[in-house]
Amino acid sequence: MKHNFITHLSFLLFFVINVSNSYAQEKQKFTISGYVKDAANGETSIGANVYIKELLKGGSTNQYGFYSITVEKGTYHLVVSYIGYTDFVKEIILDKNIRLNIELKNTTINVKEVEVSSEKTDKNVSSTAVGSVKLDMEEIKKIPAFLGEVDILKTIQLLPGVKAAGDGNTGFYVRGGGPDQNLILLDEAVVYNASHLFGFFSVFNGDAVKSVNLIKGGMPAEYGGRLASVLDISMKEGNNKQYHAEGGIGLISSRLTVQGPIKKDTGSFIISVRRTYIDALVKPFAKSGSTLKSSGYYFYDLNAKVNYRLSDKDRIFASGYFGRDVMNFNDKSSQFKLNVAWGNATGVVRWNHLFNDKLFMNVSAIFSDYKFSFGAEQSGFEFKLFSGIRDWNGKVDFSYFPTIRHQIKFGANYVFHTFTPSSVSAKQGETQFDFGKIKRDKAHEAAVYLSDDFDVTDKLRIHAGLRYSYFMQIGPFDRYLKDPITGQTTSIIHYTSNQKVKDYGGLEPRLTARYSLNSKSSIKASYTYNLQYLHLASLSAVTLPTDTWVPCSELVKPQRGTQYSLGYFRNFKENVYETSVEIYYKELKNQIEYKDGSLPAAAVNDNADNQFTYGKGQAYGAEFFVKKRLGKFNGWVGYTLSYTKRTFPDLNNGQTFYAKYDRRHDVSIVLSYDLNKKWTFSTVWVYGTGNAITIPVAYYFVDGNFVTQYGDRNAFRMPAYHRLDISATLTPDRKKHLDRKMERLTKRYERQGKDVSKIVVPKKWAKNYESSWSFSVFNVYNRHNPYIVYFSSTGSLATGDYRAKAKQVYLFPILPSVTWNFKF
Amino acid sequence: MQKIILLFIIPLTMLVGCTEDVNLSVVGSERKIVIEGRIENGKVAEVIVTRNSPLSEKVDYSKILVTDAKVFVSDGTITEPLAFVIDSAASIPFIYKGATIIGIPGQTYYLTVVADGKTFTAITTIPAPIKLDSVWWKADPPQDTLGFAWAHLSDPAGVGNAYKWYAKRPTKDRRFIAPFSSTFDDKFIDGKSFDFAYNRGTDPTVDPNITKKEPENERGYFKKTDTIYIKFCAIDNSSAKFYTAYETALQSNGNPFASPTTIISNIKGGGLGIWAGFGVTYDTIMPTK
Repeated sequence: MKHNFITHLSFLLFFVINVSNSYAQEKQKFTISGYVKDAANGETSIGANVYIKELLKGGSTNQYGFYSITVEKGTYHLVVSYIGYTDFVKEIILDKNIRLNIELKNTTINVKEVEVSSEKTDKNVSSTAVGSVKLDMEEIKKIPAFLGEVDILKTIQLLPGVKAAGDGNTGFYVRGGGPDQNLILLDEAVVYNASHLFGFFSVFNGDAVKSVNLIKGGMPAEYGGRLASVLDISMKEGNNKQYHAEGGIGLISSRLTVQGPIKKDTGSFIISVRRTYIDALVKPFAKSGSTLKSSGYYFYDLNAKVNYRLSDKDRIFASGYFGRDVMNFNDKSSQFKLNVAWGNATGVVRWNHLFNDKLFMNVSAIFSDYKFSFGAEQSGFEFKLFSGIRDWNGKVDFSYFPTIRHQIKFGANYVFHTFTPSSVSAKQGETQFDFGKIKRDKAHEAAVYLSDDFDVTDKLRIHAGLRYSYFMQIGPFDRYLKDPITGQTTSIIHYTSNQKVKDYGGLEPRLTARYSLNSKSSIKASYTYNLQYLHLASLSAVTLPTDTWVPCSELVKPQRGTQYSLGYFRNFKENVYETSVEIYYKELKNQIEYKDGSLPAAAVNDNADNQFTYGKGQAYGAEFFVKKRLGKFNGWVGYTLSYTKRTFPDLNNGQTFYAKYDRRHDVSIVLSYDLNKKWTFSTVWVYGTGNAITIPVAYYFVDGNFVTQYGDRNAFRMPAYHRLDISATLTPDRKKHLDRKMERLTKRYERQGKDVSKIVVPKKWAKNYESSWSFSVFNVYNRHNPYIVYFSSTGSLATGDYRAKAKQVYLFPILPSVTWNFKF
Repeated sequence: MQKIILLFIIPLTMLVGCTEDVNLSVVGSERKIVIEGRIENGKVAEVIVTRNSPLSEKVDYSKILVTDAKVFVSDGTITEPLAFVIDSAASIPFIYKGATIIGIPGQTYYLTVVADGKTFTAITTIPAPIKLDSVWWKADPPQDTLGFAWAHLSDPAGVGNAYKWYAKRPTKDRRFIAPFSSTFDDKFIDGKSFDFAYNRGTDPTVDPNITKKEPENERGYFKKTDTIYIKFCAIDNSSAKFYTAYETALQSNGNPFASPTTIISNIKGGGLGIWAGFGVTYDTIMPTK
């Protein structure tokens, strides 16, 4: 502990001295700062590279598109580069502080080939970010989509180190971490369950999303509260130049997005809605009174955002998300009714303020909510179960750009959590069953952080960060103390409202270093230590919306994660090819699992954590990545070799076992080919070692029945998962189409003997209108990938034909789909 | 309660899932001894000793039955060896049965089994029997001659009571049969006085060809004309845990979404199964006129 403290202290000192040193050297320096935006729609560009060509030094725009560079007086060339945009280059005479807002022009696909950015611009090699990937929506939209729905979560699962849990699972796994260890942010608001329809779709509507940034190692200090990764998703702000509508009509869902200026170049809005209609399509064909007629499934979601520039220094944003999944099941014959609904809601209000050319501030007030409810009814018996989590979050973040060498961030964050553990109410006729009062667990979570991204030498760049986080569970709370042998409640400790139940806190140091070998290659290393105060308890073999979030308590200690990673990054052929090899080693402490023999039950007259048992985890692996970024033919190949282990004293006789998502081999190949302006083709192939599961090994007699005896935990492997998807996008050439129409119109005029010069062109022809068709085939070779493997017994002991058979459930056969997208 | 996830999932699989048989190479388990022993108030101890049947093998009764075990029961004062006998009222008609020691509520009993060269031990206590206030038959509308067995229970105050229900139609059933979810505790009903009902369980040892002959609409029901014997047992915590998990395991057989249910045994020495003390009371429902 003492040793730890000294390490942290010296780390901080180093950091502070270095920053103050750079002040001392300061001479006649001036600052150029401003915002980087898209010229066509005014959307700010996140993470664009801004640098001084002469110095080959610079930084990047922050979350709000702001940059600031301070250098000695002089004449320079300022270069701004951003994927998918033409480089912006401008000569600047820096003899005073300059404010320069930059608008970048979108490059078309065909121009991309010649538009090779200069060496310096390549972030793959030059940034300190290790294990970090930024994806732009254009790239995501090209990849074959399941049933035509563009999906961010599915796309990131194609990256090395990120594993899909398989069809129909809501979670994803990053470098051996659990699905609860991913921090998923939508405009800074935490999204607790990022999936619709049991993971078949993600909650993020591609039309409303601007950028996606995934951090799987070397997590910067401004992020915290999760061990494995950050998925930071920014919503579009809305076109602040002109009104636009776009949407798509697909086989199972449709979507519509409307955006436009509130005041040109000053404020804008965007609204995006989406709904599935499997239920509406099926119902007319169902017999009246049948189960199908009164059952159904649908989800919908809504994204909305407005922003307004109050002055050159102040800008406000308000954004929100609301989505629900609803499933109804009504079986008339057994009088069994079921209603299940779940979903997220988030709301964020942000204020950007520029104190001066070097200091940028953002203040956010964030609301985040996840709810799950389940209701069932059969012959007079009514049953309801619900659970959820709700956060109120206040946040202030500063970006400070003292010199060209430093980019400092600091801030503070406070969250008030309210957890509703699985709560139950039930009644039989008039009799209400006693499930106690509904519990809500409450907790405070807070953090402060400081980080600096700085050039130590021309070759060495370091990101050093320190975060202190604190968590306190508060009352009202009842602690049920259990007899360790009988499991019976021996006493109850009652905590009153706001009374402290238990608190935890700790320092989380983060360090990342990049050493440039030359302009084409670099070595990066990182060390991160994270604390996580929330756990997701999952009893089933698959991740489901029923999984509940539980806070730290006296029994549940904070999850602790330490990650070391090392990577070699090299670009080839003028940055056309990006390659990397990364290795990582990770240790996880205070992991939770349900005790052996636990059954799903409500936390009634009990605490959910009484059912948990605790252990540790270990994960290591190597990730290989080759990406062709530019050209007609582009895409990537990723391969991950990994090991994920868990050790729990009370599970598997204390022997180490593989986590269920341990995956020895994981391959993703993503290729896309732009044939011409009209046609784009793409394909995805994925392969993953089967999940580790626990299976029966024997049967035995109890009371005349044969019951199952399970083998070692996760000792069996499901068959491997692999799948090929293809897609083709047809974008009809509207100009050609209109020309042809014009030709026909001219001919008609001529036939009718009218004056051709007096042709009245229909107004709608002049409209800027685009449409495209997206055809895709999911699971081309119809692989039956196992969703679940289970054993079922048939026959009777009396007749002696009793036997057990392995069965597997697979979800998706080959699935073709077509979607029509439009934009005007 | 344990059905929540199952209920939730069934419609999902109906919506999208496809199920098929697969051939998997499964490694079988080593042979283990299974002990199913009980001692009831007023009765001698009964113990069934079997071996498990590895999944990779066909069920072979000659390998499952253990006929040469040494079984001893002690009440702390005297110890008696149990004799291997044939008993047609047991689930498997080959059992080890006591003669001298008769179960008394509140008394602790010690079991020792020596089989396949290993020694297994277990301890249990017979809880105080809790009598049902009343029992009756009631039709399940819209039927008027088919119904369930009902009972009224007053649970003693204080959490920790657990129960197991059995029923038998004297002329039709070979033995007392536990229906599904026959084990329950007083977690939600502590100190309450209430009515509850059970359907008629199916004896797994009866040839399914015989069970199939019964009209489908009568399955699970008691008839208005049935005499029903109710055996209502107070059980201790480890027995309740065992039987609850056992029932969950039965229900999850063939359920793709069930998580592995570990049936926690109170047998020490590496065996499977249970040594349970039952505080039993009996009631009879006579045919309603």
